[in-house]
Amino acid sequence: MFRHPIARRLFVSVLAASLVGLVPAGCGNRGGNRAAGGGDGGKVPGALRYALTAEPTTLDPALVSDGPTIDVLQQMYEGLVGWGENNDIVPLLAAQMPEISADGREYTFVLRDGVTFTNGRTVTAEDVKYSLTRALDPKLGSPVAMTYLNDIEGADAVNAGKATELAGVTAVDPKTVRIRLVAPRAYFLGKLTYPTGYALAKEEVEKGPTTPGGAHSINETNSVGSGPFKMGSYARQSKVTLLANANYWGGAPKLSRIERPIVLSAETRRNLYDTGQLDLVELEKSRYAQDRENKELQSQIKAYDRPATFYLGMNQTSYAPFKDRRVRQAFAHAINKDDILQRVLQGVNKKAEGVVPVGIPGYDPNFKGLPYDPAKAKQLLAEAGFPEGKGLPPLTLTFREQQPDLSKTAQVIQAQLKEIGVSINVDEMEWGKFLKMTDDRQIDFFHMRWMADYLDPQNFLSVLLHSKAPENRTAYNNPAYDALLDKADASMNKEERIRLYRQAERLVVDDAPWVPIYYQRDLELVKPHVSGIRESLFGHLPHTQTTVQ
Amino acid sequence: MLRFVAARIGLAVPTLLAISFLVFFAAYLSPADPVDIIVGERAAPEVKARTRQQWGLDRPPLVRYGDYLWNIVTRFDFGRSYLTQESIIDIIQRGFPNTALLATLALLLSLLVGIPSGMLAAVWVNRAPDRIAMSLALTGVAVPSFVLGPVLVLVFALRLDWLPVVGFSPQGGMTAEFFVLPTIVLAARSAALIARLTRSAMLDVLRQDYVRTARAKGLGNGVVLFKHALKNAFPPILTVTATTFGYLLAGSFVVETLFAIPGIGYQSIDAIRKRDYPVIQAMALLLASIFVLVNLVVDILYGVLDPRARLTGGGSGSIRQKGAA
Amino acid sequence: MPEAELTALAPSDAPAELTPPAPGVWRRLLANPLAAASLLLLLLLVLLAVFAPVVAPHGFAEQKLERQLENPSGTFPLGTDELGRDTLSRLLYGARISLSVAVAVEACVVTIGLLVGLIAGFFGGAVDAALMRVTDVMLAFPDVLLAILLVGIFGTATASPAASLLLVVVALGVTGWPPLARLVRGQVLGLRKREFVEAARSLGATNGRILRRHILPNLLSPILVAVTVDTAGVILAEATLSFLGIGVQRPYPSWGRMISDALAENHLRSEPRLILLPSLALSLTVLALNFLGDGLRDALDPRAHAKR
Repeated sequence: MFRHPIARRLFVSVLAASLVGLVPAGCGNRGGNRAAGGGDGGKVPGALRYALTAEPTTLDPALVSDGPTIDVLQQMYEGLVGWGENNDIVPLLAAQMPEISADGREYTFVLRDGVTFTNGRTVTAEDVKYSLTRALDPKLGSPVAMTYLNDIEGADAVNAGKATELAGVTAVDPKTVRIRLVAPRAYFLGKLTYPTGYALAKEEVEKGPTTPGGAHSINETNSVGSGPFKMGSYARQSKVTLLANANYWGGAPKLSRIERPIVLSAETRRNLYDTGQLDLVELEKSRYAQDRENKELQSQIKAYDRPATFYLGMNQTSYAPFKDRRVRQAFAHAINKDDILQRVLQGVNKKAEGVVPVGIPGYDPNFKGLPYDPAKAKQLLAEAGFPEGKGLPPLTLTFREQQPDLSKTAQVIQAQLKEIGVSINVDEMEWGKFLKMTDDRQIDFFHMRWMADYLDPQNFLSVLLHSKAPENRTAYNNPAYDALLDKADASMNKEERIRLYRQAERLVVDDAPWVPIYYQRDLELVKPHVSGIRESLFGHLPHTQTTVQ
Repeated sequence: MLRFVAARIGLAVPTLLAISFLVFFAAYLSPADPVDIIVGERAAPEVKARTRQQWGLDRPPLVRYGDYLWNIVTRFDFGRSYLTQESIIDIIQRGFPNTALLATLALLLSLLVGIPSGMLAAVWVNRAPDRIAMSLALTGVAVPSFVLGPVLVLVFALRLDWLPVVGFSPQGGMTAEFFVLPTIVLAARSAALIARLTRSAMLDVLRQDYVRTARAKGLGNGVVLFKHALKNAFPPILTVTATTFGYLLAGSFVVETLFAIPGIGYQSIDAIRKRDYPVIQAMALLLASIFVLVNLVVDILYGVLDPRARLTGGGSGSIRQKGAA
Repeated sequence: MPEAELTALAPSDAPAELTPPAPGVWRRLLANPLAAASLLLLLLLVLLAVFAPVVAPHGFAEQKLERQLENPSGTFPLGTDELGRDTLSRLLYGARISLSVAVAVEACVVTIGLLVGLIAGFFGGAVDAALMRVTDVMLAFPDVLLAILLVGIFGTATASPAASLLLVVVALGVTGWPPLARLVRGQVLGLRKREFVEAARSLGATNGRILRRHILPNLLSPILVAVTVDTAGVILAEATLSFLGIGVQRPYPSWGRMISDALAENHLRSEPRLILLPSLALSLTVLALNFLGDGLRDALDPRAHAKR
């Protein structure tokens, strides 16, 4: 029925009109939005539309800990340095790469001329100092500041509330800032690219709401940075819109705005892409084989390797049996990664043997982790006093909601553990809550991912598994492992560092607080009318050159 | 009449009090310490202590309950989310208009479809129009909205590309076409129920002597139908309309989830998934108040329409509502 | 199913038509083709659910990853899902879950509803007023909504699948009894004034004896009808909760959960079978219960039937 276009239009108009008649005034704005979504793939020139897969966890760069939210913030803010298209560090607020003192502890940055915040004020060295100090302020209670800024002299004093002045950062003059480290760190500039290093305008921050600890935080009303875009609007549970910053030092972006509708369901996101309402969308692995055969879609598929590891984490704080290495090893031996890779991920991803993923210096292609060996798993479990899983308290594997790949992987793991007699539950959790609860070490057994913030094994081995690391969500604690890392972190000798990190990695994989499962490889569909997306290993870079036309 | 209205209102207040009491103290059964949720378990003890005090969590439960009620009644303040610290009234203000609009549209649609088809079925009872209408109505009852929704999306949005796949505009701004599918999906079930009820109410009335008399007197079918039959079938229809409203709000949980509409159904499910107790509490109270209010209005209307009900005190929208799907 | 229930409930406001079930109930029920077919279908479903462990070719959580998304075959009569699980087996165990939830919930509903209704109707006065007040409060809420909020407050997350099942039963059970309580009360009010009760009382029968001998037997038919129709609602409600992810937890195969998982996998376009089969199971069960309820009502009360 309604094959004829006129009949079709009539049908829609009647339906629409009958509803318009019912819609109370004030809900108007009946622009022909979908008129733009016709057969041409539905582009809106100048607007890049891609979904946020979860509510942004925060809008405060000093508090952010997840990739999806960082992708929003990196459009609005910049630090002294950032990532470039060759996966190298490039100067952003800094005019050029810093001068590093002979002892490797002092970095001197000269700021770029004429960079302004979107409120019109020029960015100064004081702003850099303020932003770093603020991120460390214990009243703000940032879960990430000490992970990324702890190498700066005086950071721990500020973070412990013993000092208000960050001793290691000096504003030499309005255009020069000097950062002094506690010890030479090969990866320091990498850490400085993290949002904790973004420059904020103090006068704007102080307009923000007060946190439970008594500091000011940032929301959509005071998001003011110096990046290529600025906050347009944020309708919770609905959409974030970013507008081009015409005064951006690198030239106004080619887009006029970025629209990030918040769409939790993967199915709905895909439907929106297929009907031309989104310009790019992640491609679920389950649909890859099918879409690859589709003439129209195959050219829209993009694949990106990401320096990221998907793993199982076993938390010793909240689940006592995980204190026993044999239990952890038993779990590791029970997981058949190949099955997951082939059947759930359709052969797209690479198997993870170790913690450090492909793409990070020090990745060891010859390393083999704990193999799939159910007999060994059963034996270890029995030795630990839980023969056939008997006596284990109830256990739940928790993962981020609305992610089909994760939920299928979790269900396969549930079945695989059942093979050695261990019954577990699986449970999906809202993203923000999941991050918070794993961070608080309240989740016994979780499946998640870590993506590199910078290309150094330290970002995995030390940041996630050192006993003192705030990001350690498993409470893994092995003094021998810590000692190797302390040595490697302090060294400036590349070969020595890599040797030490590899040694540490062998230790930790064998201790099995983590079961690395696979390395990330993103599949994405991008509409042909989108071009100029700048790529790095870390994901799409800020959309300064992206065009939609 | 005034006494009747006053009595009805007098009953609504203790009802709401009882619900608020239950909802408030149910949260005490959760093992989690709210402070740990607000600032994180690893926060410094002094931050935790200060937060406990600032949020008033250190006071005795009954005092907190009293305060909670007082804030709601005097300032419409439901407190703040433990997880996002957002003021709950902001959440409600954001979501409620969407839900109210959707439910109203669906209510109108189900009345517009349900009453005429029920009348048609009654007039042509056991003939083709009756059979068609009642088969459709049965489908509407038996097919849950979480099946109907995706199927309609597949056909009308993905295959034919006539309508959007979601119930909000990703470009911002609300246009009517975004409401078409969600409204239909939400209304399907209640339209079916209203049609079935209208049919049986009409049949009962059409059998009454005075209708037969009217017909015998040679009054036209239309006159008989509208002047006599529909008028007398109206009270049960009114009752079911109130019930329908309850369905629609419950159904909005599923429909808003299906179509990504940020209304209170969507927000409630979100809060339940996050175990965000203050938000769950507020939503429960809000919905309860709406139901009590709607029932109150129907009771009073019913009393006006049918004075006998005032004496027996019966006959409100108190029909079990199950299977909101 | 409020509409059907409305009819079932109608006697509560009007004086009840009180006759013990007329003879020939079975004959009349089976003479109604829709009701007979529904009864047959439901019996079959019950048998399949009870004997699911015997009948099902595979386990409900048994994954054969190398056989994922297969079309129907000898090994997998209805094909497999994205984890290589047998769809038929999952549907059968799904029936087991739906029906056990329904039976458990109705047990709660009948117990509470009967108790409240009997006490209120039999003793009347202040007791009646108080109990009916509570009933009205509960009736103000659509019970699915109440169940959703109950589940939300008590939480299924990190609960074992068995615990989640229990929570669903409790949530639907404690919210579902008010209409039955009203129905029972209405019937009891009517019965109390009947000659045979008056007569028994004047002969010195105790309250307990009157309840047992004269009232309860007469309540059987209306309760049977109400419960049949209500079961359809319970099954839909469980599916809704599970669809929303707050009902029965994995790996238990609730029909509602099967539908939502298949939708999340975007199977609607590529493997519609995985959505249509559980939907069909759900809709057919609901329809059958409705038809059976209607048929039962007509069969138990032939005079009402004659009026139509």
